[in-house]
Amino acid sequence: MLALVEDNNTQSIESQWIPLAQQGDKAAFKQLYQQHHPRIYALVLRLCGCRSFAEEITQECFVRVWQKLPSFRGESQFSTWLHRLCINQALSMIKAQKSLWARFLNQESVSQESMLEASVNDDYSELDCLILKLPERARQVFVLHAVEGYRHEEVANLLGMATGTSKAQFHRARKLLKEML
Amino acid sequence: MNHQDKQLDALLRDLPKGIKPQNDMWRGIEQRMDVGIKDNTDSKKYNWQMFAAASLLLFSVALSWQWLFAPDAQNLQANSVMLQLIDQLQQQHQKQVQAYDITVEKVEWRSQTDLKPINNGLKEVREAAAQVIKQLKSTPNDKQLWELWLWVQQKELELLNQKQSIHQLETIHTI
Repeated sequence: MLALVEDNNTQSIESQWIPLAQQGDKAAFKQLYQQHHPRIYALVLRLCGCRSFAEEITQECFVRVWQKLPSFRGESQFSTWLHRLCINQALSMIKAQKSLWARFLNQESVSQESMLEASVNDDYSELDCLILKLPERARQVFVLHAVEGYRHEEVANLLGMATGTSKAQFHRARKLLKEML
Repeated sequence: MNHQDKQLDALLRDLPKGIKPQNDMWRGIEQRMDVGIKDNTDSKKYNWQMFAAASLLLFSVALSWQWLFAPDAQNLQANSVMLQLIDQLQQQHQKQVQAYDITVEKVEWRSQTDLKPINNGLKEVREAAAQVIKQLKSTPNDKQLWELWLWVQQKELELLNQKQSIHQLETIHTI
């Protein structure tokens, strides 16, 4: 009940910041950033599996949000719009970065970086540490479906894969996570 | 559902919605906010520059084509005209040659004079003409070949004329 009241208050305050930010008010946009960046950072970190890259992506996401904000018409909740925009931005950057890394590093070394990230960081929850150890595709499917609540059809669409593949990756991720528990 | 499934679901329920990043990202975002808009402007400017460069490139290509390939096209057209001219001149010449031959055949002339040198000359001149025409069709703008061909044609007509003159003289003597 308390959380619901807090959510309503947040949305009420947010509805004041959004028009100001749309008009170029940086202070208002900073308030929006302060409100949403931990959620976006968590999402991005879980998707990409690398802290420094997650920070870079999160920064880029908010720059994109700033640029795209005038096109926000309020047809959906701001958090939904922001979330979708950031997922697309993150996946796009991960894909681009992956192809760049692939030229210099093999997949194994990238995966090891994620695992090292998970093992040395005490700030992450137990499940986050395990998620970061998952193979990239399985991790992304698990995060989008189990954590963010997207349907397999939506996950498949976002990741450019078949719905069946999304389901298979999800079951693989769950199996791997259970083995790691 | 086994113990691990329950444990995983419990961890999922307790998974924090947000994670606090280790570094402050706002400063970087704030700097990028202006740069981002500037980037857009630069991007538009860049697009215009790209458009201008592409247009210039296309113009250059078109101009180069005009200079490099169009003359070839013009040359091809000119060559075609020259080849037609060669054929026409050859046909006219053959008509003149045939006119001489018909005159000789009509009178059923059998010369007492040895015409072998003239006939050999005609043979050589005609072989030369065939070679010159063949070469001229591959290089129709070769002025020297044109002059040579016209000279050979002239020589053929002169030889035919000589042949006809001998015939006329013999005819007069016979009468």
